[in-house]
Amino acid sequence: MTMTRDTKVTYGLLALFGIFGPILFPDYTLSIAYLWMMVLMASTWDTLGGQMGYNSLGNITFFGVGMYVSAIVQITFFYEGGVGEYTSAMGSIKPEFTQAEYFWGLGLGILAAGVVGLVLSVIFSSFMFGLRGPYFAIGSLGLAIAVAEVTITIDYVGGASGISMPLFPGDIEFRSTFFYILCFVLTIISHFLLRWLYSTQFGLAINAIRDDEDKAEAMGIPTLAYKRIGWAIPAFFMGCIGAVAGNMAGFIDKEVAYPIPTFGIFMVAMALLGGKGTLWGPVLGAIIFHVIKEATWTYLLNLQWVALGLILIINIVYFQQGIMGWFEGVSKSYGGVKANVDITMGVERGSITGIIGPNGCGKTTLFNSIVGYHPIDSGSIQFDGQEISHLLVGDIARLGMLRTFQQTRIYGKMNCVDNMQISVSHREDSKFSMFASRRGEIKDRAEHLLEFVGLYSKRNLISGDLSFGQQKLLEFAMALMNEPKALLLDEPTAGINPTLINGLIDRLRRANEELGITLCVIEHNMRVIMNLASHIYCLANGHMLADGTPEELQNDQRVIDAYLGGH
Amino acid sequence: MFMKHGIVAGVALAVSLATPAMAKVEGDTIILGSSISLTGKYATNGLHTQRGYDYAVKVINEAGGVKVGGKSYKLDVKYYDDESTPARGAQLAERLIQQDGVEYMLGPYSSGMTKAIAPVSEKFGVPMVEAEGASRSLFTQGYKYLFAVLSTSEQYLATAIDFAAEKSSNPGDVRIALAFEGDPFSMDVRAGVMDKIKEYGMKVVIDDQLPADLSDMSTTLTKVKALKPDALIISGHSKGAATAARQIDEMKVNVPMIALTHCEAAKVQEKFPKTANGFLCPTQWVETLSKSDPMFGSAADWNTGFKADNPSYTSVPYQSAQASAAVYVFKEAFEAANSFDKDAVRDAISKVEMETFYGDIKFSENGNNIAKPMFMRQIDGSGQYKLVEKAGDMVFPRNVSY
Amino acid sequence: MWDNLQLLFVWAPIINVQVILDGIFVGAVFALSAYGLALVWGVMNIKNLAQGDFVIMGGYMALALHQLHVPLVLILLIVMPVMFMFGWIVYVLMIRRIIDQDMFVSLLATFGLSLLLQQVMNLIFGPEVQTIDMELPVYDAFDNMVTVPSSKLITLILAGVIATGVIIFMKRSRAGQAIRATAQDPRAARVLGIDIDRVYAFTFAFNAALCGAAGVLVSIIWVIQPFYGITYSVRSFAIVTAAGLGNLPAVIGAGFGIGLFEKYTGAILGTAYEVAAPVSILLLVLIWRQIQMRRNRQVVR
Repeated sequence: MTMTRDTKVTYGLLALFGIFGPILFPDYTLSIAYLWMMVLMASTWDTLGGQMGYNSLGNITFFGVGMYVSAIVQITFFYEGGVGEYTSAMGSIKPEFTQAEYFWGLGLGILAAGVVGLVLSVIFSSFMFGLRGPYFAIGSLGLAIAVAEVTITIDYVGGASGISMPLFPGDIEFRSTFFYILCFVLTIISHFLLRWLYSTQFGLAINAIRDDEDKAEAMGIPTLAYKRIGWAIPAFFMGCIGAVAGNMAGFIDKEVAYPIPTFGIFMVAMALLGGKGTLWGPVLGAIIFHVIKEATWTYLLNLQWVALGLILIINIVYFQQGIMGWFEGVSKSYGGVKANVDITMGVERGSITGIIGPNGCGKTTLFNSIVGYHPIDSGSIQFDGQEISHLLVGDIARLGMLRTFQQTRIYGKMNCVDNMQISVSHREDSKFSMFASRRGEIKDRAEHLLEFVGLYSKRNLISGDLSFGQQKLLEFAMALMNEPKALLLDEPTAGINPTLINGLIDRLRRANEELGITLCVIEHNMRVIMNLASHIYCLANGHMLADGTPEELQNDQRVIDAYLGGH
Repeated sequence: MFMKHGIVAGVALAVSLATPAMAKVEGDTIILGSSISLTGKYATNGLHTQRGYDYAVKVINEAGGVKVGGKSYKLDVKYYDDESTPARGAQLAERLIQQDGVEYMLGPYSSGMTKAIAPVSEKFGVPMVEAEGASRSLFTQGYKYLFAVLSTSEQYLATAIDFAAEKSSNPGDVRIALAFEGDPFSMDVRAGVMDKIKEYGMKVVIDDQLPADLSDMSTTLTKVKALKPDALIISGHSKGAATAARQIDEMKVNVPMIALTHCEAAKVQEKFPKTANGFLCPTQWVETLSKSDPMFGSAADWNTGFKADNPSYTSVPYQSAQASAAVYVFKEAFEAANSFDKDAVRDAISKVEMETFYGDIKFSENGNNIAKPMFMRQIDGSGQYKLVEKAGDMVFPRNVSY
Repeated sequence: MWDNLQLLFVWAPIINVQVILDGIFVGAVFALSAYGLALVWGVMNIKNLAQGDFVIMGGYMALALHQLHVPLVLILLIVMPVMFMFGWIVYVLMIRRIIDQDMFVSLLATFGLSLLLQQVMNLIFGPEVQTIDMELPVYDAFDNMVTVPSSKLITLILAGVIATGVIIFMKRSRAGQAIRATAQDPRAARVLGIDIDRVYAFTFAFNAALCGAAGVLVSIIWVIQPFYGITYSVRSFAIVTAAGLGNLPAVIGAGFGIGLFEKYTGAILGTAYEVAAPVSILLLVLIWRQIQMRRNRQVVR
């Protein structure tokens, strides 16, 4: 494991703080111990959530189960009557443990808690990993609630009355120090284990699962095995720290063991605050969150949830990359190729203009910039005498400039007429027109336009069932329904049966002539564009290569070279 | 990158400076610490408790405070909110003791919370006088620094079973329905009730455990209607009492005897005057009690004074009264010990033997108050609580027309 | 458990009627808040963890109005628009900025909102357990074995009226259509000039209004406290997950189904399991769906 100097300095400082913090501020020993516990929770959550993209809300389950397992182990092995007798007495038995019994029991308890957590996670894996995204999160939350509710009905572990943990045999100062060391060491172990894991193939694989699991599967990565391990590690550590936390608390019941609405969600908040999917983000987030939480609980009594809620909201709404994002965002360049450099072009009102160019020359990007999907760095885009380069997609659409997509986008679960009706122009919308009812004339016009594109007979079919070509025609009709002034068409003939192409060209021309719509068409099919357009622009590598009438371009050597890959 | 790591370390250091240290006695103020439920499911009763503490502190300070070593000291309470979660309570207790330097603690609300905090105060040898943790198991642990002014929870509803037995010609035939929330307090109340039921050889026909976040107990009540028991016994803090009162009315549950805890805290007599008619409600304290002390006067005086300070109460819950009594115990102990040494104070508390507006206070070896009885009251048709000292005083069967 | 089964099916089968009625009352209220969640989830992909707190908010508003002797229907007519405006404000201040983010952002942001609302309600209304007692008559049948309080009947009718209104609204109005179109393909809707932002704002505000209505009903038939919201959130999520998104009849069906399941679990296994019941249904549905999807070589997403 190689480290940069900065990283070494950080570890050095944290180690100094971890070792000398409690010595310098002995009264704060347990506070700092809880801090390390938070760091461990947030860091291990991030393995599954941040690195693998399976956002669990149920990791707290292992914490609680660990607590109970440790209690059972500690009492079973070192109390003669066993757990049943101990709990049925409802706390009226107070066994004295010798130092050896206590420490052996605790050690075994922690280990057993970790192992049971791990086993439990493997069991959960068998039925949880078919769930993705929100379903996984909510399913895991459901698991936590279910396990917690089941726990309080088990009288063997004290049921609703809880269990008192064995008392610490040593003196009080040593107790704090002892639990501090346990928390600190567990945190260190988990941190370096994760650090190492992230640097291996495993780290790459879980990141691949996060970014595109289907792709990862298609590439042959055994995703389920990785996911199991990715959950087993947090489960093991949550179990261990649960055992420690139970002994620190001294008394455990459902509320202590499964703090779902607090730690269960806070650990996620901490990872997100610091920046999930990074090694240091959860560490940083946990530290900051813990400090803020303790401070609000001290200074803002009765308002602490308001403060914490606001901090969560502001953090998540305005700083979504987490704090790590502030530092890494600036040093990362966007790195992409600038698609369009300095293009000047004009489209005459009422004309049909074509845009051609080889693949990847930036035609679609140009369209996206014009209709408002991409911001432009500099320059000007004007429509109807108005500057639109700062407007958003919806605003531009309402001005009367629409686009269609290379891959059609229609409302696949509605029928064609409904698709048409929802596509009416929103240019004259007022605040209340959202609530207006449907008008008869709109339906008439919808049917008329469907007839125009030749889909009248299919008007009542669910649009998702149409063929690709028909969907394109529908999309075109939907655009016309909107009564645009200008229509930007991205490869209208791509994927269309050649026999239909002539009909489409005809309809485009009629839309232009009869409805007075200005058309701007990206097209690969040279025959189509030469027939259709009155003026053509040719792009290459984001530059304007040439423009002119179809005849001029057909004879332009630069255009021919570009298409033949001549340079 | 260095900045990033610098922040990690810097922030880590800030942890230790985030909370100021406070001494146990600052100038002429004695600081008592308490983590109390101001948010979460116990917040209703947490607030009753906090008001009781605050009222006592106010009265004692106005009367000249606490005299130790010939000097007068004011009392003050440092509060934290434990969010009704025991783990948080334990953590905050450690924080009060270690970081804030508090050496005398007032208890939290509920047995569960006290169970979590008692090991902490015990470990640090900090005396804690608590007023809201009644579970018997708190007093079997051999805690030396835990003192409770209230009666233990097995006594809450056991009297109701005695009454039911007395009203029946053959106690062995009495059929009882139980509905208890799943929390340490209610479980202990239930244990006390079960002991009595076994003693009389009664029959339990329903034994339901209510989940902590349930706002609907209609299924339990449906079964009650079908099985027609002779007595219905309920415990579930304020929420349980309010839900039960509400639904007993709606479902026209007609059981001759209904006994439940936390009537006053949930204000059932005020919110459900019709249904509440005939409810048996155990209470730690009654305002008609003929006990008094020089500080707060009689029980009625305390009641009047507290209501004047907190006008929102029509009937003051005993939770507030016993909270005031806990503060009063500390005052007496400080003055008896004539010292701020926590062990001296602890010993003084253990020797306290006094009459207060709340009743007599004398602690057993285990720290529970053995000098004070529980009371049982019944709500009458006009929403008033009437003391029921023997089965004959009770209106039986419950007289309600739905 | 054996005793309970005997009681239900042998000794006093008539109480089944009561259990079923209670399940229906419970389901009706859950269905309202769950449908709101299904809308915001389906249309704008926001998982609102503050759902239950919106419900409780509506309950407290109803309580305040009831104390001013405002009649019930008027309470609904006041609470729903007020909650609508509140929802719109929340949308403008925070939801708008997290719409395109991954699911966790919305879960956590609304969790923050939930914390904030709980404590604000605690500060305004106090932590006491509250309820509205309409003091209406209670009907009974079968020798008092089945009771139906008029307050619950009114609640059921109101829930039905609101649900019908919502169905008609979603089917017939422009706003309803725009919402459905946006839910299917926001990009296409945007290109075609639908003001997505307003559709989103409307949807979120509409959800808040539905929760507010549910809250009014809850305060009439059960009890409210500032910290009870989480129960309603969990149930809403369980219902929506079981029913799928954006399908009102399915959501209503799932609401009733979970209400009944909860009540029967309570009657047979004991009340202790009533909270765990909707959660276990949620898990079972998720597992069942996985098994089905696996046959299609798919996962549940």
